[in-house]
Amino acid sequence: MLRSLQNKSVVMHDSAAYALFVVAVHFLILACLCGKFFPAAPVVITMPVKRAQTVVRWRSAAIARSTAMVSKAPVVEKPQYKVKKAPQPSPKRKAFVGGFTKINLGPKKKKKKAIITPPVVEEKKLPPQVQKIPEPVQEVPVQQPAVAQEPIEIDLSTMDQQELGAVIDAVHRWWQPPLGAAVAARCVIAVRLTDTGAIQELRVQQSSGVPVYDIAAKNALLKSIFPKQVWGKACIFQF
Amino acid sequence: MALSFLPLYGSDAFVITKAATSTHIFPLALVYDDPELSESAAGIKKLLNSTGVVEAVILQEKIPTTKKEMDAYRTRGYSAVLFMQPDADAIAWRLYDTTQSQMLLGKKTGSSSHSLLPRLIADAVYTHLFNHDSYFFTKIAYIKKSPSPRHPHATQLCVLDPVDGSSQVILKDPRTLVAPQWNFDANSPVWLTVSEFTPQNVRLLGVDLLGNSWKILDNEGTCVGAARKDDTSFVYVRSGVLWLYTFDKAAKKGKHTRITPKEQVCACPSLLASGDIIYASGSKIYRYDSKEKKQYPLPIKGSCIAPDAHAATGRILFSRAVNGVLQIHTVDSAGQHEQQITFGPGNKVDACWSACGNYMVYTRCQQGKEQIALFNCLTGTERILTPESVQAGYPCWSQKNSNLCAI
Repeated sequence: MLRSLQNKSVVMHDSAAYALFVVAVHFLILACLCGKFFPAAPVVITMPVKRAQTVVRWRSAAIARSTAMVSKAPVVEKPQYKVKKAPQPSPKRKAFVGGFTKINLGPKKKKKKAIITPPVVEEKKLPPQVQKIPEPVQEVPVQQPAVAQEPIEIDLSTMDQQELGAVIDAVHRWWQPPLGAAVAARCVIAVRLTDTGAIQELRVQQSSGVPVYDIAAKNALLKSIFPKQVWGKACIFQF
Repeated sequence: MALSFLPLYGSDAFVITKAATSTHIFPLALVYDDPELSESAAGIKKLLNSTGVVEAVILQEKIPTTKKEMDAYRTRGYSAVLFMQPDADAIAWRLYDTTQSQMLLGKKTGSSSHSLLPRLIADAVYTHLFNHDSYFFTKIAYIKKSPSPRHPHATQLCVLDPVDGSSQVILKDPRTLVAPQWNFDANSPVWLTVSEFTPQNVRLLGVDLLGNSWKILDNEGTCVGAARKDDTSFVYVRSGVLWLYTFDKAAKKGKHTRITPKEQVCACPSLLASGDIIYASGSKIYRYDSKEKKQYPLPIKGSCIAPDAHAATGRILFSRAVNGVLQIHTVDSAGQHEQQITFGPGNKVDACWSACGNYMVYTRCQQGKEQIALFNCLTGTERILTPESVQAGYPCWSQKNSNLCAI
């Protein structure tokens, strides 16, 4: 019991000091924020000229070193451009750093910007052009190309058995003779194919006399996928 | 610019050969917009589908007006489309080919009997598509046994519809009737001949569709089997001998001419388009040349009975036993190119061609039952037309006649 009380008293002593410390810190922070413990007038620090000169010297030395390094490098011909002089800076320059003013760091030398102007090209004056009056074009009737007039025939004699079989198989795959048609029915259908193998024109040249038979034959041709040998040509199929 | 094509024949055309057997059923769409046409469309669909060569599908939707909409039917799998619209008491219809979106046939069909409209339209469509007559306006005559305690041999002459099998009794007779045959002439559009067994003889009767009967031949002996040759003559068998009966309109007299020898027993005469007569004698099938006045047997092996010739195609049906079962066979008019048509159990006899030659009817006998069966030669399918409870036989298929459906 006594130990706990003692501990409590020690704790109480320590806690009071800590509390006082915390309060002081807070007070200081508030004071900083309000600026009451700092002088209202900023301290004007003027850099001595010597120091500015030394800064200049340091800068010039740095430049000299860099130019020396550049001189060792291969000389690159600079383009011959007229460089305009940069405007001179104002003698006084005020710097503003977080609430402080009038810190004169000396005249600040601005970097010279290379202003590149394009070369002046002398414009050549072209002589006035004389507009030529075009001669009238004689109207010539357009003649149809000879190829379109010729029938696009397929010469079966030039096709080998394999090619012939491929064409017949393509149609035979879809050929379904209908029930009820006469056994001796026969029809002949002419087909013209486009360059991509689609049917451009389909014409029944000889009907079987049984419409269902002709329709079944036309359906077979419409469903067929023809081989490339007959693309762009006219073919005749006898069913 | 139209291109000129190669000549039609020769080696410049790709020849696409047909398969040995065709199996493709023609797909047809029946399109209508008005709900009043639903009954007619259903009737047309039933008629066309009964043929076994058309698959009709009903589509109740808006009738297309552009070619693009028409092409859609082809992509949907229909080779032809029948559009129907009501027009007063008639139906305006148009049949289109979907491969090129062009109209094949268009008509306005009307009838005093509303029930005949589907048959008229279906018959016109089928006839145009297949280039031969349908059986929608035909009937099948047959003999039905109707014994009673008082008349144990009573029979009835009936006609049935090959589409739905509905039957109608034409003549009730207490005696035995056999071998009905259809006859057509200008005076009486539709009538039949039938042989009636009497205690003294077997006489030939004429019967119209109203049931009125009259005697044609009532001579001594048996008159069974008559085949009409033309309006004034017919061929019949009397006591096994083949006779030709001709009627002289000017003299108003009939004349009988014997064709086959007396000692030769003949049966089942039928006529070819040339006027030649096909009949059975003994176990052979004979052909009588009407120009040379001579008969000769056809080179058919085996014992053949009950022949029937199709006048237009010249094909001949007959029955012959195969492994103890009578099956139907067919040959050409010269007795060549024989082909067995039916298979399976049950004796098949008394076969008769349809008018188009794609179907036939026969009597099917199995386990004591006798029924009329319709056989589709295109699909090889059989359909029984009479119930098991009815003993029926001697079928005979009529020619196409619109008056037949007015019964």
